Amino acid sequence: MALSRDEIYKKVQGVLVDALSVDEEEVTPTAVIRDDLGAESIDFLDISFRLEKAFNIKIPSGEMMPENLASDPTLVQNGRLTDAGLTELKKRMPFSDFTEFEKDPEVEKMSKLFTVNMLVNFIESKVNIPA
Amino acid sequence: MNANRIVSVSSFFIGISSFIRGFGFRRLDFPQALRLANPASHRYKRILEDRREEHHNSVKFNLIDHIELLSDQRIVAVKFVSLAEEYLADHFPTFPVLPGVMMLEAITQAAGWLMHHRTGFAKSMAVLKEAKNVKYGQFVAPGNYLKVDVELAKLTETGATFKASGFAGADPALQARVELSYFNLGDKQPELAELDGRLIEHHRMRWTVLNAGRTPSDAVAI
Amino acid sequence: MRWIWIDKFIEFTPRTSATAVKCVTLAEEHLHDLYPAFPIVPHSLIVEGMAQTAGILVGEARQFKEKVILAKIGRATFHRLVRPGDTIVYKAKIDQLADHGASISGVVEIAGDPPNIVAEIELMFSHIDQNISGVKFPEHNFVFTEQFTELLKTYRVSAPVMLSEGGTPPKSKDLAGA
Repeated sequence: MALSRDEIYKKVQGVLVDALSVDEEEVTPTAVIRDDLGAESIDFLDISFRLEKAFNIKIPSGEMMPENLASDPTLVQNGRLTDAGLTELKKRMPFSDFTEFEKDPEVEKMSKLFTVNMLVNFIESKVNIPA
Repeated sequence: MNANRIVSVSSFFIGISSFIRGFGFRRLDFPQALRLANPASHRYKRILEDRREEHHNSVKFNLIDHIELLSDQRIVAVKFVSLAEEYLADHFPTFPVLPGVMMLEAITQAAGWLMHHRTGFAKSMAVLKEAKNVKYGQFVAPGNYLKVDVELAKLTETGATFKASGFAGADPALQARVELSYFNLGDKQPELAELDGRLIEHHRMRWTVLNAGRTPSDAVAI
Repeated sequence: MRWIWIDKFIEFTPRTSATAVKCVTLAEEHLHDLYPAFPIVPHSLIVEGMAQTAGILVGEARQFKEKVILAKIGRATFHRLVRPGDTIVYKAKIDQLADHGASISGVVEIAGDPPNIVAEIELMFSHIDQNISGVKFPEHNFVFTEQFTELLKTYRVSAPVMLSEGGTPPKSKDLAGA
């Protein structure tokens, strides 16, 4: 069942409003889920569950939010991503815009990659699988 | 009453006071002796009242220890966690931490005090009507304290909504949105109206206890 | 005050749903603290009753290997007060179960015919050993103590323990006319 990007956006917006107790107006395409909408770790799990339900899809753990990066010394050193780390992250988060993050790949700034747009892109790829 | 009866009644009481005097009790007059002997005496009444009031001074489900800030829009209150709290033995054995729902209760009680403050104890009941997106980020362990910051968001027909955040010491511990129902029992069921006065009096007394011992320059800077 | 807010399971379908009851009694000390003239069960403790019912359901789903901790109350909406003499019925079901945690939804009722709805509650649990923040917890499972695992064990024993030899328990109407 193909959904337009607009339809996906509306549903994702609804999920974020319900899970995070934010107003619809706060959920803009460039809003950062953690920094701007106040999401915490449990909220990411909540969002994942609600998206699975709303779009009738399965989101295996680690697919939406990459895990175990910081603990790997080849990927992260001194709180920054190594070149290998950056490559790996891009692979795991193909829907994010890395132009800003690339300039200063600090682990603490990773949350900025997680925007509403990224989420919509992610859902689009799972829902509109080309035949 | 005939003379014989008067004599026998009088001698009975003279006998009683001599008896009591004989055992070193202080001298009792007639009305005092009568009061002691009578079960409906004011002293027994006082004991019965004390039993009912006893719980007033042994509040165990009080989740607010200290109020740091109070305005018409906002309350900041603190709950200290001590290993002496009984339920910690079960939550959890070898890993005592304040249960999440007790943090919610602290927010509810703080919001209740804010409503009482705003309205001058207008209503007797301040109960949780709805809690939304209450999320727990950090445990509060014994020796530490939970600070709740509760802000009035909107007044409703039946009470008010609040936005609240909690801190384990200095670290963010929780966020919540709650709606309180603030009402008198008599509003819902007229036959319960007489309880409202007693409940409000109880809240006023608890408020006094909560603020007792505070000096303007409260030394502990939290 | 023991931190146990359910008395017994009356239904338990592994990985799916569970129903537990709690009897409310005037003998509970804390009921007399906030509203002495009109004791009610604090709503936070009703949330805890649901959390314990659902927490055991979620814990059992992974053979109690995970430390299941209440992480989020999505929503808890209350419709009426609960008083001594009421029997609270907690009905919980698992909505989603994953490596990092689970989400459940449930209904709280007062036993009766028809049952009276007290609240609707949605909760999320975290499997804290699987959390990504890197915090380490003691190895042993301090969450699921005997107090809780016993509840499940005794659920499986459904017949009453009789005092007289053989035979079935007397029906209440037999005693009434005596």
